[in-house]
Amino acid sequence: MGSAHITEIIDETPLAALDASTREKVEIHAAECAECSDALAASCLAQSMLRSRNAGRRNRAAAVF
Amino acid sequence: MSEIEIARLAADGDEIAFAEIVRRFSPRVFSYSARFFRRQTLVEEAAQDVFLKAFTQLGNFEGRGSLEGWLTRITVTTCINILRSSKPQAEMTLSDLTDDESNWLEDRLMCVALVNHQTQEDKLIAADLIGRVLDGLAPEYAFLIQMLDGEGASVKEVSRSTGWTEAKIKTKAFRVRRKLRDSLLRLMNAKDGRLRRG
Repeated sequence: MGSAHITEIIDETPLAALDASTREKVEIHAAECAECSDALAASCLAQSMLRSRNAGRRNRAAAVF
Repeated sequence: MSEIEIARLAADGDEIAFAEIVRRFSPRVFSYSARFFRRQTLVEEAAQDVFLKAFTQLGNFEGRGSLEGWLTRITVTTCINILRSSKPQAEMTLSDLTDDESNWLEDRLMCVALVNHQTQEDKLIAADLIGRVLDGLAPEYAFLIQMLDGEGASVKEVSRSTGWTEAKIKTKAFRVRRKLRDSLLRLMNAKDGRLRRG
């Protein structure tokens, strides 16, 4: 991965779907690059928030049906 | 009675057959509509529109795929069209956040390791906040990212639900992940700027 930024990778694939080796490379790069560290943190947060929203929607749906 | 038989009867004006379609597929239609609208009244209005459209188009259903898939695609298209025709919402800015929300966002960005161990309160704040960020996106983008990253649906599943090609879904997913990430970072950068000025 070298000095290339990791944003292409984290925008292409959900973080949870990255294989272990790619995930490790992403995290190593992010640890050394402030810009990518912020990007990775924001992507993790966005995906976690989306999962929370989905859980809330499913709970509401379960209450309706 | 098979789906195609029910669809043909309903297309010929058989109200009982159409009521059966509504009974069988309401949960699916409501579930998809709820991915687009948070208020229950809007979900119900969208579902009504879907069944109205289905009623007028049932003659076109040829039974090559499932009736459920056909209705799902009508639901997605109808909801996107409703949202497109409503007043577009501006992208969320820092001034839209309460102090508590702004602090919450900063805390989570500072400590991503905690993100997967949210309390119930955290989950409610997260769901509300991301819902408002998604409101600033085009409806097809908001739907797509909710399906892929929120629900863990595969590109194939989204393709079946929407009728979009897998290439189109991948391209849109790439763009919307970037948009979401940038939106969150912009909110945080704006907060940092405000703190520095304050």
